[in-house]
Amino acid sequence: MSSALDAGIDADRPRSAGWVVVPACAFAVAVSVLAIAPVSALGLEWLREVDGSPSGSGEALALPSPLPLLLRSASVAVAVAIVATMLVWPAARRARARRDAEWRERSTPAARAGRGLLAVLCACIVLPIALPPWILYAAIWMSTGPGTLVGDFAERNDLVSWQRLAIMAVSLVAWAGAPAFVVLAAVRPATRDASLLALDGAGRWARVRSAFARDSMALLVSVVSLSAFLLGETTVFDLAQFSSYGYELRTLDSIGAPASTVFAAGLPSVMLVAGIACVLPFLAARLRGARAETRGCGDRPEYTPTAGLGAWRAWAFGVGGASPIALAAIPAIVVVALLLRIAFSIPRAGDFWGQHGDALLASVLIAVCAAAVAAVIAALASLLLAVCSAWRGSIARSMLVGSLLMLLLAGLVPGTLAALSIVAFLNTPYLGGIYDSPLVVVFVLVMRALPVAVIVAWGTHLLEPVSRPRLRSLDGTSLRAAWLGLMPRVRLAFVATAALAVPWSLGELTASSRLVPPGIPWLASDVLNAIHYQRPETVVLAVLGLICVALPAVVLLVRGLGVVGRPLRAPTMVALAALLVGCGGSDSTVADAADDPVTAFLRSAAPEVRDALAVDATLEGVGRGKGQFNAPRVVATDPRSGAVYAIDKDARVQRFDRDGVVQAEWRMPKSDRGKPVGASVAPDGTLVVADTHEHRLVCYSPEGELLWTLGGYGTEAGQFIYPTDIAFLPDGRMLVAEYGGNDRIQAFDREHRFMYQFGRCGTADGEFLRPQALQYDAARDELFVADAGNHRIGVFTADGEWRRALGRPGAGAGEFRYPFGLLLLVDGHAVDALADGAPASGRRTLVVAEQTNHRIQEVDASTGQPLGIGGGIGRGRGRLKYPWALAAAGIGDGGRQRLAVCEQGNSRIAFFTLPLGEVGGSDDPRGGEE
Amino acid sequence: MRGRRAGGGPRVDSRACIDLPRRNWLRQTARWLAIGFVAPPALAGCARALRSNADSVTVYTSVDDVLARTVLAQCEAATGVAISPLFDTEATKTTALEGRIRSERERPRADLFWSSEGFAVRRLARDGLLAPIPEGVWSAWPAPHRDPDRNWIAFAARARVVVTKVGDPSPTMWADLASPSLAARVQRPASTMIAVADPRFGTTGAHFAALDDAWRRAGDAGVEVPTLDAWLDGMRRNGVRVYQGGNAATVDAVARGECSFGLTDTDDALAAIARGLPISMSLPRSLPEGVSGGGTMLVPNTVAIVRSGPGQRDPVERVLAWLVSADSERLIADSPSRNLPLGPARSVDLPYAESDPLVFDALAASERAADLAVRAKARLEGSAALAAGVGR
Repeated sequence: MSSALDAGIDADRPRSAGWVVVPACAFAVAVSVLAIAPVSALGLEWLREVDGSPSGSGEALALPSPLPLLLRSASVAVAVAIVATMLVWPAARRARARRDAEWRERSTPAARAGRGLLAVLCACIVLPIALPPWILYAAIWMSTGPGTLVGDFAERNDLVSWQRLAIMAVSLVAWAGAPAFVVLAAVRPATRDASLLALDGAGRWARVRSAFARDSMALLVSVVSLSAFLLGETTVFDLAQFSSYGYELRTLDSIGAPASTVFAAGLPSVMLVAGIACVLPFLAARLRGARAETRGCGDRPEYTPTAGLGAWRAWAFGVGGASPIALAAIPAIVVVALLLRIAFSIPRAGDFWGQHGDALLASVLIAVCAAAVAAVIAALASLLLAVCSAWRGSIARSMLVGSLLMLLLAGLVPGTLAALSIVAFLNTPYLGGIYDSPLVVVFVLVMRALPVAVIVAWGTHLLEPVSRPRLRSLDGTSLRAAWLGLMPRVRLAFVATAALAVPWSLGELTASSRLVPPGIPWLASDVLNAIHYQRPETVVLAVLGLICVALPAVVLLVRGLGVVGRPLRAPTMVALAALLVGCGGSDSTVADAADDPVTAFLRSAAPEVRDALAVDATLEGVGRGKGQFNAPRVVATDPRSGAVYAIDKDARVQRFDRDGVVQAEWRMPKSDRGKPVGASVAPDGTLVVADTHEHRLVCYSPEGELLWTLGGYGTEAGQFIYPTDIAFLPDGRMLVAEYGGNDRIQAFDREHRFMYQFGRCGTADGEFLRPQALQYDAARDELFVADAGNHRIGVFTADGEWRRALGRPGAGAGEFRYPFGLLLLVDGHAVDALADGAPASGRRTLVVAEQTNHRIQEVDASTGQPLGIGGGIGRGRGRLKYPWALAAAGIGDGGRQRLAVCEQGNSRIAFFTLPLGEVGGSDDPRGGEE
Repeated sequence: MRGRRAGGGPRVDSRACIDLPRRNWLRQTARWLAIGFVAPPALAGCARALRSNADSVTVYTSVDDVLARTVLAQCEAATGVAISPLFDTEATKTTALEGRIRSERERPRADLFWSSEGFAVRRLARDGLLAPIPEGVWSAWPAPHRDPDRNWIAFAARARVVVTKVGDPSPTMWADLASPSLAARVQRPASTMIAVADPRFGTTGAHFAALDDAWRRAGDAGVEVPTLDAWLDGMRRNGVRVYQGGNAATVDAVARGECSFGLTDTDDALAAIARGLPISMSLPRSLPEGVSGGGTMLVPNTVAIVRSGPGQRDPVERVLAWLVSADSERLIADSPSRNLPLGPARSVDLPYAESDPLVFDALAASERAADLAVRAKARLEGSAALAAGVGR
């Protein structure tokens, strides 16, 4: 009956799938061309070189004995693939049995606990798929250094070299075991031999032999595909000091060998992966053929001896039977435990976000884009494989299979060759725009993820229950029916590829680090450098971040295997929460006792400041949400309404009320060239922003309505280059400071007409190097200019007459390093805040925020004598990191002036009250600079 | 008994799609359409978000990324110029970036090359890939540390050193590493005595070239020094291992007891000491006591302008001027790298001193360094094919 049904369906298939011939051909052609074009470009370059004059590169630029190296690398790859596959094979078999076992259906607490345990163990086996093997290596290596049991033992017995190799083997096996487990656990057994033999009471070895014969094709697929992946791995071999083919290829490229020479050296590996690419579909076809023999019974659950057992005996059977799974999970458990051990041994996670946040974000974004493209390719391939499967001998089917082979080949070439291929293909006048953008990284990551896409697509084809195509055919021949019938496998291909390709892309290093364009931070490179320089905090936090990113893939895989169902949710959530708490918890520890490397670095160059600021409130939180900042550099306050305006490096303006609640937010009209660095509230309550990198002023209403703009790029009167700050005089004049070779101050009248200018770029009296902030004392006609580059406060009249300078370069009291923020006080109160203007009498003092001394200093406005110092570098309350701007923020406790300072380095705005600490609290042993 | 779906089996099985309600079909189609419409703008958005600042200055740098990031951040703050840095990994360093600049010669992407050593800029200058330094900046810098042809400026130097386990005696001469009695000096010698970074990258190859040049000149003058070939052979006999991963890997190998002596730079050694690793460092002399210019080799940072880079000239020059300023040198000297300032009137308290640095013909050494490094590695590893005649 079955065969009759099949015959009827097969006869019907070509008609039902006829609509797909054209897209199948188009997909095949387009994807093949895109995938193979870069490699072809490199090959053409090589051919031209061979045909033309000799390359001229000496012996130094040739790979010495490439074949032995290739054989050595291939041997290791095959050995690791075999060991990993055989290690997880029993676990995979158990997982398959559990998937179909009756005990998983029980709902007793014991059964649920057993399922939960099984879920965690399976997740542990699959987890390394989310991490590149070189990170697994680093985690173990860093945990077994000098002073540890293993490290000391290895040193005492002169076994450190063996320790390296052992760690390399463990990390590679742990990594390779994950995909092997997925492949083997996903393949449904073709026959019932094992169950029947178990009933017969056959011996253990007879059952093992039978199982091996039954799974031989799946085992072979696992070994071959893993070998291909491992052959492309380079970094873990580098770290283990194991000379590999990939390392020599990369070295050849790095030391300046022409691309054609590198290609010639890599040609044997290309031929090898071409062979693998051809073998894999053949094996896949055999695997599918083996499954096809059991049509009609392939979807039935296996017999399990738990039927009829009591709850606790079933639980004992379940847990006891899971021992192979526990065994296979050990390497991953060890790695995760070591990572957590390092994480908890770090006194303070430190400024990971400040240092590597951009890299993590950029890398995740790029990886997601690459994974999305790869997932689309996988989905299309899965769709077309389903439709074309009945078209034996047809052109469309041949083209599709050919294109998949091309994809495999392009994806499996060594990373260095992949990178050079992209260079040869994109680094041209026509495609240079892509080469110069992050899209080049997306391109190469898609290329590297192609094998994942192809294998997943093929997997959805192979592992689809054999009844599914027949059921599909019953839907009819319409396009809609075909589409709906294929939707599940297409969706599976898309989601699985996306979930796998994201962590895969994040860990890719060989090709991406060769291509990443300037200005784009790449997390994998950062982590590798951190490994070299033994910065465990960076490595651990990056790895925990990667695990968080990859958890969806792990969950998807484990659930997709059907080993466990809903119980996975709870442990997953617990693990995720633990990881997040681990990351966030350590970050929240802001004690100054232990610094991250960057803060420690900065501290070594910054003066010691004893007294922290008397901070009573902060606005902080890194991000793009309301009330969050990305490195704020501007703060301005409206003394009448109490509003606080802040602008950060996202060019986002936020207006807060007195209680720190966001009242309005908007973005600057243009920001791709840079972000504002200054702003002031005008007497009429509007906000005038120095739109620095757009070389103009922009005025907004408090609600964010753009009212006017002034100026444009230029050195003429009324034009600006990098305006920094604005001061409003009681007579209506508006003074604007600027720099960028145009270092001067321009005056405008009420109608924004240019009046006069003074100052120029230089270091002499009356000259500026980046005038960054302005304050005006109308009662004494004194304009104070924070002359950042000259490390001084220049004092002028409003008409530009030079009076004096305050301070000198240095880190001592009364000295400045990059004074960026400035606020004038009269008898301890801000001039801005005085309702009736500044009185002629009264002591004038200046509060100065020093950007690279990371402190606030109060000095006498007449003499420059230091009066108080507070802050000092750090993240703790009252400490500062790269303070930029100062503004008055009302009156604090005891009637003292309250100020706001924005810190670019800590991404926050801190509110503090005067007075500052005593001058003696600052101690710089190096003294001031000349 | 519940169905298989309830147990979490292959969930896709349940959607056999026979008689699927129309609304599901619409929903799924809408979902795919949404993906189709959302993905391209999202990709474009990412590309836009990641695009580097159009006005920025692109700096290729082979300096340790934490140090370089901090210095460049200060530079940004001081000059107001946005900087797009490109780092390379510790393993490949200067060599890879030099190769990258060469490969991009038709369409340069770098404005400035801040190298952690001095040979790469000489080779790039020889091949016409650099633009002249502005006269004002160039003339303000001490003459010994600038290129007469205005192609580059050297600043903030490190020194080549030997690291040993704490308590082990340090060699006083570089030639001691080839001495047959080396193992006898160590309390508990490892099976591999000496750790050397792959000389094809970074400062190790430059060091070999410098020693070759200096020893050849000294030999010609009658000073008793080894040839580079003899020195490499001696080290091989004592037991040497070439490490992938740069000088940091050699320090790590000594700290873990895998090797007894490691050839490295002061920055890697001092950083490791600061981390608490049980090592000490020494500055062996290259030539015997009494021979002037015979101390250890100083490895300066160098900075150069890449010819036809994409940035505007003015911001590029301002960044360069800041990098070779007193502020920059002071920052680097105060950093964990503890580099020696080379600019005018700088005095800092460093944990090491080299009052008589090695004098050698840097131009000639830079010309030979790449080829010599390949042969030196082969010689250290005992590979006869490529090892012949490392030194001239």
